[in-house]
Amino acid sequence: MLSDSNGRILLVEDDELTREAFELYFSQHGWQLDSFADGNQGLKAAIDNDYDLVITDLQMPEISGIELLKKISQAKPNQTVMAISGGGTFEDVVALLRGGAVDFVRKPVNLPQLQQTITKLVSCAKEEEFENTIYNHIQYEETQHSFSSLEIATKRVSLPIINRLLHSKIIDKQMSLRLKLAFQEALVNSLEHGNLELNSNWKDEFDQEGNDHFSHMKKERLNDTKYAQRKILLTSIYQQDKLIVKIKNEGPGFTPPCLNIEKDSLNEISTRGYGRGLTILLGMLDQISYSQDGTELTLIKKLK
Amino acid sequence: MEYPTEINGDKGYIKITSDLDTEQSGEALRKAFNDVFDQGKRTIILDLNEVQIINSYGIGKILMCYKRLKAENGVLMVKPLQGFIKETFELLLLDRLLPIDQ
Repeated sequence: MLSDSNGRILLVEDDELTREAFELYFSQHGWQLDSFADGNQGLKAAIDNDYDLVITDLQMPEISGIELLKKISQAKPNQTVMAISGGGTFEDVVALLRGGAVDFVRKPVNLPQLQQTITKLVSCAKEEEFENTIYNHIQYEETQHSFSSLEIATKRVSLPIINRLLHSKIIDKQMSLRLKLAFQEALVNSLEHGNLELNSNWKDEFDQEGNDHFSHMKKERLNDTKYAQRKILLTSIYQQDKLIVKIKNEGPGFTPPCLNIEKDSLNEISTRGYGRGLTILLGMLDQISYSQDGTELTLIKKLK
Repeated sequence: MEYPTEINGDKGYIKITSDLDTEQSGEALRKAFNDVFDQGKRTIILDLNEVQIINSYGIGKILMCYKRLKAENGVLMVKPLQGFIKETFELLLLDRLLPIDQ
């Protein structure tokens, strides 16, 4: 990208008049624009060069906009792509957006409006790249959140740091799912067995319609302010080589469970109504430990 | 939230269309299972292809279905698993418990 340019755009468009209009307008307004009528040449340019934005027509003879988008996404997952078209069905637009296109604009294109949109897109992409770069250099970060039992039971609570680590490519998608699942399990464990004082055995007690006693008691206790207003404190500590999460509840505490799952038999692990949460934690993380009184659970995952 | 069900011969099918990690999803599974079970089907297949995350709560609900079928000499099966769900099932040894319906 030229230092005195707003940004570099690639346009893949088979209509000559549209190409010429874009070339004239964007060059007059400080952008560097490369354009190709042939979709395959456009694809090669997108892969071989660095563009702030790729704009593709939807309907082209050699390769469709959807196909072009797919190939660019495979080669350059972080490339920002938008589409323009005079036609296209609703399904085409859905396919484009699901394929990763950030926007779709119908022809005839209002170029000043389009320039505003492009300026915002390019600015957001640069900001994200900057944040990701900065995040890779963070040595230490600690955050704390506090939630009531009712909030945890009724809202989907997630740890923002997991998504940040994913976007910064410090962890991959598989690892992020493992961390999210482990975090959820630990949080629910702290809520149900800590703050709400629910007994695991109740999960194996059912009525004739398949309703379990555990779920019934959980609803009852969430309606009881004594339990519902107890807090859970989440502390996440990011160091470059590991992520530490501490989850502390305000329940009376309990004798921490045995963390040696090798003692359990295959059938016992597989079919009983409880106990899998701990197995999941132990399987997804490197280390878990309880405080002596059982009110705080510490999870550790090595990142490198 | 509702999960679609289908009957094909002597088998019942339940398609889980969300993550299986909340009370709503657990309740939807329970209802869908009851729907198929009450129609007399004792071979029930779960399709988990659209599930990205399943936690211990969701697994507990699946095992509830397993136990009810087992009590009547029935069988709970799953469509071929992939990705993270497959990993979670293998971690919990559930892949040895629930046969795959190819």
